[in-house]
This record gives sequence, structure tokens and C-alpha cells, in this order.
Amino acid sequence: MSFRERVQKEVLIIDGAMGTLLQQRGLPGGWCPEEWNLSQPEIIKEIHKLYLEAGADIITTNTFGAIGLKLADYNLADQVKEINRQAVIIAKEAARPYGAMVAGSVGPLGKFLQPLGTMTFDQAYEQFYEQCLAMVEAGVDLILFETFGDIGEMRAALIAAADAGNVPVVASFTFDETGRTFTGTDPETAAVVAERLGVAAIGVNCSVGPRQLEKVVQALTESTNLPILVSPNAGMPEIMDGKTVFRETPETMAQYAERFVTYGASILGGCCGTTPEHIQAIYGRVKKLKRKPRSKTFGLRVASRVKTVTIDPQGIPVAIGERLNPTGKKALQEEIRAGKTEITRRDALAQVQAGAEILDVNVGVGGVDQISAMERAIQAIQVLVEAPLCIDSTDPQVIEQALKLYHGKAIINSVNGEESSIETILPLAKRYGAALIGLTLDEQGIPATVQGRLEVARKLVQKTEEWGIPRQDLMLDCLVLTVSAQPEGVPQTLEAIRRVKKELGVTTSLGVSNVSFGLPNRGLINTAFFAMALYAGLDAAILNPQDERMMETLRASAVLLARDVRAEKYIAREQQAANGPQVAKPQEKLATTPLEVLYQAVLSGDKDNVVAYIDEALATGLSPMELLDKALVPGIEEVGRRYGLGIYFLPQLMMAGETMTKSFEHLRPELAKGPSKKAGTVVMATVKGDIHDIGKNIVSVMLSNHGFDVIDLGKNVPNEEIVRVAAEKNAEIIGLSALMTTTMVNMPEIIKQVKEQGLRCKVMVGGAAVTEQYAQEIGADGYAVDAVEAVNMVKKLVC
Amino acid sequence: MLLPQIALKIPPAKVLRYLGIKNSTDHWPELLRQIEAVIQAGKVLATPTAAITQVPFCLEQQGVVIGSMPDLVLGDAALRKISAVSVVAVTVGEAIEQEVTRLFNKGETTKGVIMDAVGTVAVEELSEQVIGLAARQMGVRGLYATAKLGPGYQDMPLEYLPAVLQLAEAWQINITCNEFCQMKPSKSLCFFIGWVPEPPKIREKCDLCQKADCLYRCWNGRREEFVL
Repeated sequence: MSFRERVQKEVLIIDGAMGTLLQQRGLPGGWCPEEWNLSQPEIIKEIHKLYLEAGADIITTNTFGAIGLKLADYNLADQVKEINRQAVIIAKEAARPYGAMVAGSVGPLGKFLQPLGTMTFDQAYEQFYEQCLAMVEAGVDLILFETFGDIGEMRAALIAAADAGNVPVVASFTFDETGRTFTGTDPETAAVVAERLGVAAIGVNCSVGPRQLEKVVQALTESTNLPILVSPNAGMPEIMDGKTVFRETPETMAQYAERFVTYGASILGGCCGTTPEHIQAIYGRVKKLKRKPRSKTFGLRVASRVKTVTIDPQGIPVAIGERLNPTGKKALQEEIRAGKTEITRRDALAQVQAGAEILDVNVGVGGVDQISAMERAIQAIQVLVEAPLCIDSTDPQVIEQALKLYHGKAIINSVNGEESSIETILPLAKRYGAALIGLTLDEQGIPATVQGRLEVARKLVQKTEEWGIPRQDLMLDCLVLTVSAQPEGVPQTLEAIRRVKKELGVTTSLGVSNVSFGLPNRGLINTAFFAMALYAGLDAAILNPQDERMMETLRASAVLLARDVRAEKYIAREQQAANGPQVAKPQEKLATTPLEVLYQAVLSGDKDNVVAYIDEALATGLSPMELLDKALVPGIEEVGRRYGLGIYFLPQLMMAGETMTKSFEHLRPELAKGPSKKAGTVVMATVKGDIHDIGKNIVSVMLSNHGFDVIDLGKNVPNEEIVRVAAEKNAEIIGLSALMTTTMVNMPEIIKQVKEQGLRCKVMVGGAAVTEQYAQEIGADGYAVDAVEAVNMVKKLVC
Repeated sequence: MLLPQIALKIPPAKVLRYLGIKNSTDHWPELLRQIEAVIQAGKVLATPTAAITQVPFCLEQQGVVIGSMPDLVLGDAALRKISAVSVVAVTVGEAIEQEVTRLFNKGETTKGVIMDAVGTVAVEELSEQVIGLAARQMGVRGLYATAKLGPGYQDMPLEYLPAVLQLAEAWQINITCNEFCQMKPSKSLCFFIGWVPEPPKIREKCDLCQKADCLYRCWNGRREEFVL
């Protein structure tokens, strides 16, 4: 019986650690374990036999690191085929008398794929393909990808294995105590991505002991109906006398194995630290147990590296963000032409924040290398947001490149009923494990009738299943026509949605905003149509999630159609909106007079209204100088006082400062007419070598707001330049800032030059590395720890 | 190992902390809105990259001597049982600091200081994520991360920075430093992490503390927040 047959009928036992037993048999540290397939085959065979005697139904070859990239560390890169072939031969010879099966073990590459690392999909694919082909040609019964911590790498491995031959494949991930893989994938997402890449079973091995794996195993069994493999370590690793040891006993491991079977696992074994004794105990405990059948139905599930989104025919409809599409967006077109991704990233974040659960990505700009453009977009977005992606292109090459790069299960937008589309797109969806949006049009265009669209839909479902793609991974778009041009089209679309869903049992999507082209107030038409489409059974809509009316319609309709059970999501969202970031301003005295209003405007950083308040105050007959002296300056001084007391913080200081700046700008023409009242001139600079100037900038702003003339020379300013400008402008004060001990040594040099040149100005110092003691040592006239103190110090020094 | 693109989280709570704000419940709504908007903008501007590599070392009387650099000694007492040493360089790129300058020049100083804090939090978070990534891999070997070590941390002089950047192969992610040992881009970090077979002592301190939601709580020497 084959693996596929046996795994459906019985609980299978898989062997334990290989490396531990090799070390016990003298494998030297630093030696290539896989090389022993060639030089010490009898030892490898002996270990296999120990596990077979212990009851293993499956033994794994000694090939965990027998991949070109790793063998290259031992100058064995040219031995990939021979080492793997020999390993399979040894294992098969050992297994034959026991009727056991041989799993070809393949470990991860030890390098991350792009975008997290530098390895390309194609490079990883080539590595895995070479190893898998060698094992398939040697007659392995199944391939076991084990200890994978990165879903992107697992995708490349599974695609390579499928190309290497028709051999069952098991995808086993390693999860840590947080229940995620090294690169953040949760069990459901691992299952969703792997099962569409044709695996015969999904598993978990290594990293932690059985105790820590309970929740992961439960999550896996609830996420897929495929058989589940569980091979934990013999506990958490500990270091004893310089060696890694595992303390879980065979009996404890066996007890956990039994529990895993009750959850639904059916291939049980062990990883690091497990021995034939552990496997024997597991065999004794679980071999006679019956598999727990699982037949859960799932909707259309798509996934990013870290998150799964389900489009469920009974669940809450899903918003697919449409804004990453350059059609009609000049700025985005320019960005794509320029090879940049700033708008793309900004819009991706904004759409997710607005409620989009999936993002549609389209880079269709004429005259642009769309493969490169799509690469850039996918790489930029997939590390930025958790939402899965919908790859939107008419070019199969662009789609293929996107699917290679994407570390999840994407949706292809789209396939249609034309033969050429079916022949090019469905193979891509099958090979790369993607879901599909199917458009109900064919060589004759969009059928005018419901029946016509239903026939195209039926054809798409049939062809999809013929390609081995499950029906639930096809979402049908019944296409809406522009209502202004074809008013009879909308009822046809709505009826088509209803019947496609009912008769074919698939989910439906729609690009909603097409309906309103050519009409005024398009948002109103879109919203009304959207509500109707949701009533007809629509499951997902490609829309602008930043259109609040559309998102409200979606949420409200989900309640009214009983798709948001007990309105839980709706209530939670509304409560959140109502409770939101309700933050109270510090209690202020109610402002009544124009001066009090201005004073309060500075205190509350109300830069948007301060100009209006000034105009109102001037209209009452107050002079500009009165506004300054009786409202604005007292206001900023109060802000400084509150900052000093820890009531206000830096941003509030800055907001008040911006309000002051705006006030000064507005009053400047009027103030210029009166007598000059300058507080003094300050030359500000960050010293030579120092490129950090945020603190100096803040001090400059605050000094300006207190009426000083500030000449800000910037950062990394040569000593001579600072002294020269101070002399030229007849400055009262030089303000110096330094962040680090390596640059503050310039401060005494500047003070020396000031004294040598006999300048009247005083020098104030500050910055993260500078202390009051240091300021005194170098002969500075003043020191300030922050911007408010700096203003006070400058005021003191100019008196 | 080069990590050219890393997903980045910028927790608003940490940005508030870097802005010196101790209690987020009593601030102006407008300010909180600005912080949220600047965080979003910072995420767009940041290009988080990292380089991490293990370096040879030997244990001498004076501490851990980094193999290829006999003058480079990590003297932390916690390292007596060290099993491995990684050197890490991380940066979020130059765009954030350029934006800070632009905002100040434009007079938008509030956004400027918030953006600066966002950049600082971003690079700190990035370093934590990279350590978390390595910690998960080292955890398989029963090893735990120490605190960050190196120039600017503990007592190591800043003058070692060029050598440590060299060890980290920081040129791969375009981090350089000037003759005053200032990194460019300035929102960058470079440090060593030791790997020891016991959870670092800080864990005990955290175990005793009742502030379960502390941002700096250390769980068994691993960083739990690594989610891409």
C-alpha cells in the first residue's frame, strides 16, 4: 500500500532523531552527517533498523542537509545526487523486511528568501529541485520537508517537489512557543498555503517539546482536513556540560502522542533528542488507535505570510482594496514609471487601516516593464501589511512573477471563459497555489442574460476542477455594466450573483464602482447598488475602503443579512468608534476676552485658528504689541512652565511653538510699523562632525518664539564658521549642540576662538553628551538641559 | 546574513514614550491624531534592513575576545558561559531623517519631533525584531540572547564602532560612520548579542515585577513580539 492509502486508514509511526544517534556513534563535530551515507552506510542502516524495530512505519533518510547549498560547506556540492541516492538505497534496504516506507528528508536552506533575505525564488527552487529529483529517481516513497520556519521557502520547496515527480509530499513546519514559525506564520496560514501546493499531509516538528505544541496541533487540525504529522523534540533543549540535552521521557512523549491523536493527528514521531525508546513508547500507545476523521468545510481562504482571510458564503463580506491600481491616477502612474513605491506603500497602509482585508495590486502602466514594477510592488507591500494580496494583471508573466515572490496564497485577478485565458491562468493558479477571480465573459464578450453568464460560470468551475483546483478557490465576478448606458444590465447582474451562488456553490465578487460611470454623485449610486448586490449574496467587493459610505453599507448589510452573527463585529466596531481615543484636554479656564482666547490658543497649540483670533482681537482695538505682551508671550511662557513641571511634553511644546510662529508671521507687518523690540541675536549650530540636530532645531524654534533673532547654521558646522558668523552678525549668544562625546570636544575650541577674537558674545552649550560639569570645565557661559531651559538661559545671559 | 526588507511595527505607545509622554490618556486629540499620522508616514518612509552574522570568539580572562579583532573585548560578566556571538547592524534608511529636516524647514516642528521619535522607535523595534528572529533560531539550541553589547552600550568605547560595523558587514545595508563615529543613516544601530545557555538575569528582575504590561518586560531572554 502506498503512503497516500495508508495515511487515510491508520495511525502511522515515523522515526525519531538521526543526528543524536549519529553523534553517539562517533560522528565528529563539524563533519558532514550526510557524508556518512557514502562512507559509513552500515551505521546509517543500523539506526534505521533501531527505529523499525521500535515500530516505525516510516523512516526518514539521512539527507536533512543533503542539499547543494549546505553540502558546499563541506566541498560536497557536486555530490548531491549521489548522497541522496545512496541515502534512499540504504533506507529502502532497511525498510523492506518491515514493509515500512521511506521518507526523503529535506531541511531548510538556512537562508531567507527575498524580500526578507537575498535568495531568489528561482535559486531556492533549483536547490530543492536537485535534491528532490535525486530522491525521486532513487525510489523514495514520500518526501518530507521538515523543520521549515519560513513559509516562502516552503512554497519554493513544494513547487520544486511537485516538478521533480509524482511523489507524496509532507510539509512540516517548526513553530516556537508563541505558536508561530520563525518568520511569523501561524498554523492556519501554514495549512492554507501548503494544502493548495498539493501536499499529502501537513506537520509540525522540532523547536519545542510536546507540551508547547498542544495549541499548534489543535490549530492545525482545525485548519485542514489533511493528515497531520507531529514530531516534537524530547522537550526544550538545555545545555549540560557544553552539550544540548533533551529531558522528556519516552512515556511522557507517548502520552502527548496519544493526546495529539485525539485532536486529529495521525502521523506521530519525534525530532531532536528522541531515540528508538521514545518511538517504541509512542508506538505502544497510539498504533492501535483509530484516526479521528475530520471533514470540516472551509470557504475561500487566502493568506499572507502571517494572516489568513476567509471569504465565507455565510460570513461577513470582504472588502478588497482597489486603490493600488494606476488607472486614472497620475501620481501612481508616475511613481510606477520612476520605479518607486512610496504612494503604493502609503495607500496599502491606508486601505488596511480603513478596513480592507485584501489588497488588489495592479501596475498596468503603458510602456513600463510591468514584471519589474509588480516585483517592486509585491516586495514592498508584503512586508508592510498583513492583508493578503490579489494579483491583478492581464499579463500571465506578470502574474507568474508576482506568485513566485508572494509568500502566501494570493488571488489571481482574473481568469475568464476565453480558452486562451483558461489555458494560461489556470496552470499558474495550480502551480503556485493561488485562488482565482473568474469573470463571466468569454470570446463573445459579456453575456447579456443571466443564463449566458451562468453558462460561462459553469464552464469556469468545471475547468478549474479539471485542473485540480478546488471549486471553493474560485470566486466568480458576474460583472456589472454601466447603468447609465445599459439600465437593464443591473438586474441581470444581481440575478446572476444569486444563481451562481445557489447553483454552483461558489463565492462571488464584484468591481462595484463600474456601475456608476458617467453619472453625477457616483458614490450614491455605488452605495445603493452595493447594498443590492450584498442582498443578492455578494461575498467580496473590490472597492475603495476609504469611502466610508461603502464600508458602512458593508457592515450594516452584514448585520441585516445575518452574516454578522448577533451583530458582534458591528457592535464592536461602533463601540470602538464611540469610545475611540477619547482624550480630554487639560482643564483650562474658560476664555472670554480676546486676550484670554489668544492665550488659550497658544496653550492648546491651536495653530489653525490663531490667525482668526488675532484678527478678532485687533478688531476690538488692541494693538499688535499688546497681543504679544499680554497673551502670546505669557502663553508660551506658561507652556514652558508646564513643560518644566512635566505637565506638557515635547510635542505640546512644539504645537504651541508652531502657533507662536504663525502668530508672529501674521503680526510681523503690523509690528514692523512700531518701535523695534528685539530680544537679541543667537547663532545656533551643531558642532563639527555631529550630524544629529533635532535638539538644536527645537531650541532654535523656541528661541524664535520668544522673540530672538535666530541664525541657525545647521549641523556639522566647522568651528571657524560659527565664530565668523557670530562676529559678523554681532550675536549676543552662540548656542552649541553635540550629541556624542566624540564631537563635543569641538566646544572648548570654539570658546577659545571666541575669547581670542575678543567677541562680546556668550556661549551656551547643550546636547545629550554634554553635562553642566563639562560646560563649567570648558568655560562655557551657560548650559541647558532642554529647550525651555535654553530659552531661560539665553534670557539670563543677554540681560 | 543580509535581511534586505523587514516588516516593521512602530507601536504608538513607544513613540509617546520617546516623546517623553508618560500618560497617553490626557493629551490633546489633535496631538494623538498627528502622532498616528506621522507613524503611518514613517512606515512608508522607512526602509528597514539588517545584517546579522555570527563571529568567532574566545574566552579570555578579561572577557570575550572577538576572534578577528584581539583588541575587541566584551567584558560583561554575564558572558562567562557564552556559546556564540552575533554582530548585528540595522537601519531604517535616510528618508525619515530627511523628512525631519524637511518638516523643520517647513515650520512643521511638531511633526518634525514626532517623526524623529518615530525614526528612533523604528530602529529600536527593528533591532528587537532581528534579535527575536535570531533568538528563535538559537532557542532550538537552548541558547538565550544577552542584552545588546558593543560601542555605545555598557562601557565599550565608541571608537570601536568602525571595526564593529566592518564585522557586521554593515556596508551591505549602506551604513557608514564618520571620523567621529557617528553612523549614517543616523537612525541605525550596530551591536553584539551574546548567546548563553541560561536566561539572562534581567528575566529574574522581570519575574519579580508586577507590571505585566511593561514594554520592556523580558520573557526568558526571547523577544515575543516578532510578527511579520
